[in-house]
Amino acid sequence: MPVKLGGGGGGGKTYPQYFIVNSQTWVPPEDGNICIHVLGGGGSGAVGTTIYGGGAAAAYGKIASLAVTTAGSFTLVVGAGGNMRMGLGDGVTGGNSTIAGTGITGTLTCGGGEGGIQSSAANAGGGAVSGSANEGWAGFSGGIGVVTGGAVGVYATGAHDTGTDYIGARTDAPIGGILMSRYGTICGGERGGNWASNMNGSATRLAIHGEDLCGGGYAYTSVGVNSFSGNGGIGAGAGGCKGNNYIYLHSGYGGHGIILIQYLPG
Amino acid sequence: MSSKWVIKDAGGNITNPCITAEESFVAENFEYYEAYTEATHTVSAAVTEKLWRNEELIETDMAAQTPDWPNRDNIIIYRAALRAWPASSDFPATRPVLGT
Repeated sequence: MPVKLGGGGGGGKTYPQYFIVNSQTWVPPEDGNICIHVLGGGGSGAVGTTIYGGGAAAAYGKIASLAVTTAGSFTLVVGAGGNMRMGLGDGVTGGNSTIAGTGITGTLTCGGGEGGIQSSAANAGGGAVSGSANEGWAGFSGGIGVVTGGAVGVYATGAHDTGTDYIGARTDAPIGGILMSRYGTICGGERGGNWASNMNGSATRLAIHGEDLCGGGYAYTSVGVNSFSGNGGIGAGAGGCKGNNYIYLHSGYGGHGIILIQYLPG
Repeated sequence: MSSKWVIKDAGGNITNPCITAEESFVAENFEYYEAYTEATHTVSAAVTEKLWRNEELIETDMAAQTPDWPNRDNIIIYRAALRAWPASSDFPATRPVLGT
């Protein structure tokens, strides 16, 4: 069931928005113009004793304005984030989110972010946008995964970490968290996940997880304690995890995708 | 019930690696699909048994360093067996046992 937020106050017309996190057939509850934001699922991080990598972010796509009526119907598919990696290996690629339905040409897709790669020669690729541009559908690829998770980009290709500070990449979306989104704009978190070392599973107190649309931080252990790298925020990639002994290492989860539908004034 | 699904084409190729949906939605919209298995959560017996071994060594560390600890001689033998276990043919099927 979608979560409806927004509107209310003052006795004037309200413009609700729907945060859809589970695939479904969606019927507009009222006539009007809507903006649709789509994010795929982020990739999880790789785990390695010497080589590891962050997961990539999913693509972001948007239809800025689409006229809808209660007679219309949309098929909304929401991609899940890549599962955490336990033990050595590459991360898991996130799922694609897609939209199709009344007034939309074909199926519009935001690809999931690739799982982190256990290689020093390659980075995880960000998800890509595809589909007809007939209704103004456009967007950007997700940030690649390097050491930490890539971020979702809503105004340009998503950001990635530089490999020097090990902080999860930050989205270019306006800050405040996704619940601040409205009237055609999607908001994200303020920061990517911090990095952590030797935290024995308690790394969350270092804010290792990325906020909405931001990448997760990387984790490292040299002393044989359980380590978990940071989860990606919504649509973003998780951090990679490195340590001396693989039995202690776990990557973070890629951020789940989402479809945000906003009714527009006017 | 909502869950995760892998979407495939007629040839068995994955077209979407993981979506969240109720099964009724998936059945209605996709011809070929299967439940997503969280394979990356699967941990080998060697991994879980080595974790157990490490915990046992930590648990008995104090006993090994305290001369009048009850059953200390057997604990020291047990710890030696724990250390040797991963390289033995008993690993990971048969755990060392603390004697009394």
